[in-house]
Amino acid sequence: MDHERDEALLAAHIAGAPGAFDHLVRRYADELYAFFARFVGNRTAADDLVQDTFLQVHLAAGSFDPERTFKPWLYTIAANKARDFMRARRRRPAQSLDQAAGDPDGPSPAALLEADSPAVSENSETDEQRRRVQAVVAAMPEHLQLILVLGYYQKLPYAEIANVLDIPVGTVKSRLHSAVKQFAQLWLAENPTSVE
Amino acid sequence: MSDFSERDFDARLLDLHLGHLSRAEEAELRAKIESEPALVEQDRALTSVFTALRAVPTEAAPRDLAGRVSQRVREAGPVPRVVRPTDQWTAALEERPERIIQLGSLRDVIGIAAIVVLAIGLGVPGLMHARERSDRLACTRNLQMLGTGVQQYASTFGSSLPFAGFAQAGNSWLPSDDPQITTVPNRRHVFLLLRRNFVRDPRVFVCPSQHDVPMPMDAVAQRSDFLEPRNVSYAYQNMAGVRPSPKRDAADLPILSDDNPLFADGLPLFDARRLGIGDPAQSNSHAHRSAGQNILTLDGRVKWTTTPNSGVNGDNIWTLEDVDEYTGQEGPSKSTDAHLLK
Repeated sequence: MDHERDEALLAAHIAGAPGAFDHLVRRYADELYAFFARFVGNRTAADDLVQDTFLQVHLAAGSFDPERTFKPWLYTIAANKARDFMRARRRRPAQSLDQAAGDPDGPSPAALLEADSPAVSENSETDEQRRRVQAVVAAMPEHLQLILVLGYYQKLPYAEIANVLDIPVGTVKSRLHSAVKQFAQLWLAENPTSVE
Repeated sequence: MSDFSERDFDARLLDLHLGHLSRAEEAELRAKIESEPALVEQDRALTSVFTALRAVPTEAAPRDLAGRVSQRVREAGPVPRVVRPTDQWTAALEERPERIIQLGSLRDVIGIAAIVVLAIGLGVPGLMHARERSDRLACTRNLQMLGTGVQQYASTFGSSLPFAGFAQAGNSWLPSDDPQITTVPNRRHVFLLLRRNFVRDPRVFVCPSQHDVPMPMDAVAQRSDFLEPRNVSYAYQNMAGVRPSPKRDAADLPILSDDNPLFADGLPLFDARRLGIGDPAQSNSHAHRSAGQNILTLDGRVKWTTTPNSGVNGDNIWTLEDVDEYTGQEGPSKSTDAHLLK
C-alpha cells in the first residue's frame, strides 16, 4: 500500500479499507506540519491544524472528485484552515499571561510560549537570523506569506499552487514575484549589509 | 547593492532560484547573467534574499502526530456518505427491484412517459400547462442538484457557503458606471460551484422556463464569473452582508431561487412604484409565468411557493429589511434576512 497513489488510498478509505487513511496521514503529516509551522508560526497551532485538516479530509472524502488530484485538494483545505486560524487570531484580543492562567481547558500562554520556543541551538547567531527572517515574513500581507510558503518552502509547482488557490498560473507567478520582491525590500531595508 | 524599492528583478531569475528551469534553460540564463551587469547585480541580491529565507529551518513534526491524527479520524467514524439525487433514485430501485420488472426497462419507462406527456399535450388545450409543469419539475431538480453542490461545498470549506469575496469599499453588486467602483455581481459566488466541480453540468444553472443558455464548459476553467448573465437563471443569497452558515442558521432560510423580479440583470425595478403598479416587491419571479417560484432552503429542501413572503417568519425574499434605495453595497444585516439576486 506504500506505493499506492493518493487518490487510490482515499478511494480505499471511502470504501472502508482499514489502514488506507493511515498511509495518507503518514505520507503528508510531516509536510503539512512544516507548512503550518511556517505559516502560522506556532507549533501548538500547527499540531492542531494538521489534525483538523485530516479530520476535514475524512469528513469531506465522500465529496472528493476522483478526477482531481488529492494533494492540491489537501492543501486547499489546509490553506483554508490556516487562513481561518490567522483571522481568528487577529480578532482575539490580547491576553495577559495572568488572565489566561486560570483557564481550566488548556495550557497557559506561558506554557505555550515555552512549547513554541525554538529548539535550543548552539549557534545563537543563526537563531537570531531565523528570528529576524520570521519577523519580516510575518510583516507581509497574508496572501503573499501564503504563496511564499507554498512556492518556496513547500516547493509546490506553479500549477499545483494555482489549483490550491484557485487562481491562474500567471497570477501565481506574478504573486510569488511580488512576495519575493516585498520580502527583499523589507529584508534589505533592515539588513543593508547582507548583500556584498 | 540592488535596491528593490526602486528596481525590479528579472522574472526568470525567480524561476532560476526556485529551481523551475530545465538544465538547458538554466545554462542559457547563467550565460546571459555573466554578460549583463544588471542581471549580475539582481542575481546577487536575490541570492542574499534566498540565503536569508533558508535561515528558517523545516520544523520537524512530533513523532506521535500521525498516530494521534489517525486515532482522531477513527473516533470520527466512517466517511459520511454524500447523497446525490441520482443515488436516491438508484437506492429506491434497489430496494424494490420489482418495479423495474413490472414496468420493463428504463428505456420503456421513459418511452411510456414521453407518450403520455405527448398525448396529453396534443389532446387537451392544457398543453402549455403541462409544459410549464414539466419545466417547473426540471427547475426543481436543478435546484436540488445545486443544493447538493452547496452542501458538498460547505462540507469541504468549513460550513461556508460559496463565497467569492466582497469588499464593501469599492465593490458593488449592482452595475456601476463609476470608475472607482468595481462591479462584482452576486452570481460570482454561485459560479464557484461550477468552477470547483461541485456541480459539473452548466445546464443545471439554467431554468428550462427561461431563455437562458448554459455556459460553455471549456470557458469555465479560466474564469471567476459566468460568461454572461444568461448563463445562470437562479438568484443566490446576497453575500455582501451576514453570510449564512448551515451549522448556525435557520434551516428554512432561502438561499437560491428562481430569479428576483425586482433586479433584472442586477438593476432594481423599484421605479415601477412610480407608475402605480402596486407593490412590485410582492411579485412572483417571472420564470414560471409569475405563478410562483422554486426556492432552495439552507437544509437542501426545494419548495414551490406562490408568494415572495416565503423566508424565515414570512420574510420577503426579494428585498432587504429596512432598505428602500439600493446602491449595490447593501447586504443582510441578520442571518434571517433573505435577499436573493443574480
